Amino acid sequence: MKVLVVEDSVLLQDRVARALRKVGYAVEATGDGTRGAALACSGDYDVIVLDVMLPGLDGFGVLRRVRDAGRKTHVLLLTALDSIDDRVRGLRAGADDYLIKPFALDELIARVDALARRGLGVKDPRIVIGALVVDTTAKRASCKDAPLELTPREYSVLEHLAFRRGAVVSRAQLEDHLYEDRKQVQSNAIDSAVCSLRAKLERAGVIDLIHTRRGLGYVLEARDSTTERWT
Amino acid sequence: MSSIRARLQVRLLATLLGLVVVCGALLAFAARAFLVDQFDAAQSAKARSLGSLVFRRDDGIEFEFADERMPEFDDVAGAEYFVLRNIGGATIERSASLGEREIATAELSDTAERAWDLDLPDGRSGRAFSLRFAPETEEGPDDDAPVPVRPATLELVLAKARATIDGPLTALWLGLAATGAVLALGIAALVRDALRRDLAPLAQLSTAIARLDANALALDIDSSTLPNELRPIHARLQETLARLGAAFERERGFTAAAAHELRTPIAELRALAEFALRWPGDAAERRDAFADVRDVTQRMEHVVERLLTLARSGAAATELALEPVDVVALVREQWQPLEAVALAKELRPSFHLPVAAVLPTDRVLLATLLRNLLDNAVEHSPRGGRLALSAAEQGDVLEVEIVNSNETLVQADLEHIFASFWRKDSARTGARHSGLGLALVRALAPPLGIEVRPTLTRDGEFAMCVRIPRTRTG
Repeated sequence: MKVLVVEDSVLLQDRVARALRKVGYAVEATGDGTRGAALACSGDYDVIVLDVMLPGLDGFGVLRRVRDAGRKTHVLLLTALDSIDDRVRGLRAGADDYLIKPFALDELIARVDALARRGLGVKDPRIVIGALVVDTTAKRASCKDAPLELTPREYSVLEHLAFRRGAVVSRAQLEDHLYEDRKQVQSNAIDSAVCSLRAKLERAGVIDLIHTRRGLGYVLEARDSTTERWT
Repeated sequence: MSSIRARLQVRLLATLLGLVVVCGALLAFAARAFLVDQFDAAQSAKARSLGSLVFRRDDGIEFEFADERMPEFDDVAGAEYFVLRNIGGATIERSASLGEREIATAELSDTAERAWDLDLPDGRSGRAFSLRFAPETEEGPDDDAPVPVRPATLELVLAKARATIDGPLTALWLGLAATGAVLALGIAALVRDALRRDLAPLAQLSTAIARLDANALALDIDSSTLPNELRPIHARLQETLARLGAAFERERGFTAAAAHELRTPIAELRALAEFALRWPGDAAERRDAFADVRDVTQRMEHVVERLLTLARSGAAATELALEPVDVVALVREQWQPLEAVALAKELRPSFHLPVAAVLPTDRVLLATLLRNLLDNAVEHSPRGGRLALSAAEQGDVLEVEIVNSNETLVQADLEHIFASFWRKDSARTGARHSGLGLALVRALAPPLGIEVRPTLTRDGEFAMCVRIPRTRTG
């Protein structure tokens, strides 16, 4: 999952970005409103964390440009302006959520998680596919109640595919959502992660879950649809 | 009674009704006097007529009165009475209508004619008239001889019922009372209606004022509907409310801005702490985190200090500690801590300062003012820019000028630069920018008697001119 953080406080931008990365998000960050609007309109982000008081273009201006561009990315507004008028203004401008400074990092992460799930039409933070359970809040996966030891990259791939279960996800899409800078991605990084993931799932007793559609990408689905359930 | 309308109503009614009563009474009394005068005049004429029938003979007084010619004195009709008596009070003649009864006569006096009210012998209210005269002799006056002056030796008293006075007077009183009652009701209704209509604008204004609150500081009433007397009040109220509204807005804006200024560093501290608690990292990362905490707290301290100074500046006017201060030395003293920052920014400072300039002022406040100006100049000068400090005496003021290179400010910004938390860029997050420095300067200048004037030079540089008076009055 990829998040854009637009916050002009260097310290706050740094800690928010690092915290989100720690929990598995790929994060791009900027401190300028104009650049933030350009990134938001051109990039494919799952969530945008947007400060209101920004140099260049303020948060409401960024939001307006994103919505005018037809982007439906979920936006979490961050601000120290706590009056009801300010909150109403932000929500009416197209924001999906509003967090007043100072805030708890855990709350910020939880809200970003919720917005990311909402963007994919998923209500439950726990995705159950047969014997596989992906806990998107705890950023853990388990199989038949036994935890899977996954690297952060492997987990991110699994989570991304699980959110889009049944749909084909291209390698490029995976690179876009899991890496901050595609230019830094090695050509077989995704393939390598998928291969490693498959091996760990098989060892845990889950086979034929991640399928390759040659020339298209990957899809996560259980072969027997009767074993699928959402909890 | 605190109502203008009620007071006006009572006063107007009391005055108008009082006037009605007074006028009615005057009319009644005038009518009474007229009727009494008419009555007395008639009685006087009758008395003279009767007196002309009294003659002096050698053997006494003869009264040639015939009942049939004045039947009112007849004992059958009995409407009027008369008594003729001599100066000693002895009755010479009396009317048949009297019979054995007497007229209640007043004491004899020297007045030729008198009139008074009395009860008639028949019990009716009456009025008597007396005439003192000297009877003619039977021969009559000699036309050739001079007329002798004879002393009045007889008194003729006539008495008659007052019906011709009292009747009309009673009718007049009743008429006046009825008219007065109608007038009173009419006046009351008219006064009430007039007051209600004419005081309506006052009630409207009062209602509009009652609807004011902190969120709606404007009178929702069209001044063109108000009478001339209320328009100046309306205009002045609107003006005052507008100023009050602006002050409230500034206060709200200041409070919101101050809250924002303090919330952002608090948010930074919280994020730093929570991140460090959740992901402690290695020793180097922890050291960096603490360094960041220190920087943020210093910024907060900077903001809080300025806020407190700003709050205290309001009381500065009454708490000045005046003393002779070498302003030039003070300028150098306030510049000294900024030298390192200026050096780091590669600024090119220049100084054109006299040796000394001692002026009466408050050292602490002036130092704060100068420090904020110098700090602002260093902070907003672009890297490698120019910064010039100069001071010169101009008549009875010392002019200190601080000029710095400028890349962002334009002429339109000059009216805003003294506003609290104003920055050229709307974003408020910055290393040292609190947006309060120049607001402090503006707050401190008036109590110190100092004029501070910002300008942009022809080269686009930002110049702040500080005019400090050489003498203090008051």
